[in-house]
Amino acid sequence: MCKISIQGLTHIYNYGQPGERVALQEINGEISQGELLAIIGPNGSGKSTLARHINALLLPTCGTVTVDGLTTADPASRWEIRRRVGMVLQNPDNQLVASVVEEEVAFGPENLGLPPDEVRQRVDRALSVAGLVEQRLRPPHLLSGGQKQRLAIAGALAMKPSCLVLDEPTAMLDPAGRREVMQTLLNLNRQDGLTVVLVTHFMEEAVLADRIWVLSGGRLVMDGTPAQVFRCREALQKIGLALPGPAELAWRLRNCGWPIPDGIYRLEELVTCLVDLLTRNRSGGGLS
Amino acid sequence: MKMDGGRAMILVEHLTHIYAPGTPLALTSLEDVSLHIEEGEFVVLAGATGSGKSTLVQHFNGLLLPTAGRVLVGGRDTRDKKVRRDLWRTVGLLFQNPEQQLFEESVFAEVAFACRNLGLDEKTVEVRVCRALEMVGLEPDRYRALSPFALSRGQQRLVALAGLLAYQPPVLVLDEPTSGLDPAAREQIWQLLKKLQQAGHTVVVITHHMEDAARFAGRVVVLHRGKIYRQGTPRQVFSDPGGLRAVGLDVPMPCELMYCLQQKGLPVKSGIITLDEAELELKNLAMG
Repeated sequence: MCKISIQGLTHIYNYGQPGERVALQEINGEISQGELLAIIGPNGSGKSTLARHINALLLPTCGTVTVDGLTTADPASRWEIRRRVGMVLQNPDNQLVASVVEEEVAFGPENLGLPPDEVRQRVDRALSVAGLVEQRLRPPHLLSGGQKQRLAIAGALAMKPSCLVLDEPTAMLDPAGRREVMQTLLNLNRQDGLTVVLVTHFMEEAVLADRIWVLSGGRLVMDGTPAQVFRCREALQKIGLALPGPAELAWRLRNCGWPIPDGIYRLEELVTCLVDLLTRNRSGGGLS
Repeated sequence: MKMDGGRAMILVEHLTHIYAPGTPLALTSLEDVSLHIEEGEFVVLAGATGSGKSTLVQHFNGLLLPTAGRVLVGGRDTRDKKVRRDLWRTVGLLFQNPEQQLFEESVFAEVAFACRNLGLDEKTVEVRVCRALEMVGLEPDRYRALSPFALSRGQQRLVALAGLLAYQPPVLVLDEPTSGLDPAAREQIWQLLKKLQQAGHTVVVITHHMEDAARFAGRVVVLHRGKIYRQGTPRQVFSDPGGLRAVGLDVPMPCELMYCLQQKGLPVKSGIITLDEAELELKNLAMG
């Protein structure tokens, strides 16, 4: 079952005016229900622009974007699309509006005119999923960065979306905050079946995805599993991206003749492989 | 500019900073912090959100005054208003997400702002601005007339940095200069900062990116809840992954890898912090 379909998507900022800029060119792709898709690419490659098309924040210059069959270009469908596709941006301070945590989460459902019981239920569920129940009555500006982003996620979840698009949600967070947000997203995806589209610069986050889209110069240049994408070291380097640390080390050792299997890009996998190789080597297994 | 061995460029003595002192919202952000930064050093300040890093560096250019203790920059006390008024000429501070502080109509004007405030003549300003733009990799002729707001976020970041470099303050303090940037842009900025240090500048960087800190910093200072938790060379500070994780930080992946291999019984050397060192050590191990 296909969830989001992008066909021939082109986006030109300031179309027809001086300072016209082509941000996306002929993007074609499908995102299935329940997928965790990572979108990576150098600065200026069009990642944020693409993310904003998925919930109709931006409209195509050419091409179409459809969500469950609804087209973003159709004004009558737009609000339903935005209900189904929630969005979380990079800077938590730019997207939080209320002065109390649970009011922040209630904002969306209240605007839908839902009955108070329903709102209460949704708020409680969203706070629980985001791990913010104990902070429910606190002012958002006193939360840590990681907590603020989880609050933004809770606010989106209260709308009961079937897809969440996040544009570099951890870029401004410290390592602990990053871990919290990523764990929340993984739980939502793996346990609740929420489709997650994650725009990120962190390769350690991209490796957690089911699939990765690589953008460069406004074009979709790679579409595959992490194993497939991170096999193309040279191509990634050429467009200004690096492999995740463990994959880079695995590549270097493989390049020197070590029998490191393909598809190693996480630390745990590398540790297991190296322990095995080096232990065998010490008992005469013979490496380089 | 030469390195004068042992002369502190920035001397922090028993610094305590309390926000909103004496009110119900009083928050002790720094507590009895003592630190010295030598001329020509490259220091990384690390710590989880709320550890006091940003508060600390705002004392370096006199934006904040101590609640207790004192801060000397180039031997002059920041508590003196006359000293604070001109401190920006000595200490250039780039805030987090400087794109938010861009305001001029053209990239040229934006980068020239500080130079013009120094009272430099237009010919010198022209030379400085062009050189600063080149240093950050933005071709002057291509970018000078563009509006800063038409650029991508990463490019805006580079423009803000160029604005700092154009007026050449001896001390450069940057608060998370690479957050939100892609790997290529991050590398470019770190290499640039290293070059500036080699040319005699004192460089202080707040960052979460421990891999970069490992490669570029001469000294790492870790803050935790307003106090200095530990400091030393990168090798010294990263030798305790558990201790760093306990205060919300990560260690570089190579450290983590070596630590895991050690735990599994392999006789790996300690003090490995970069990918190159890890590669070498593994090859040495394999050769017995």
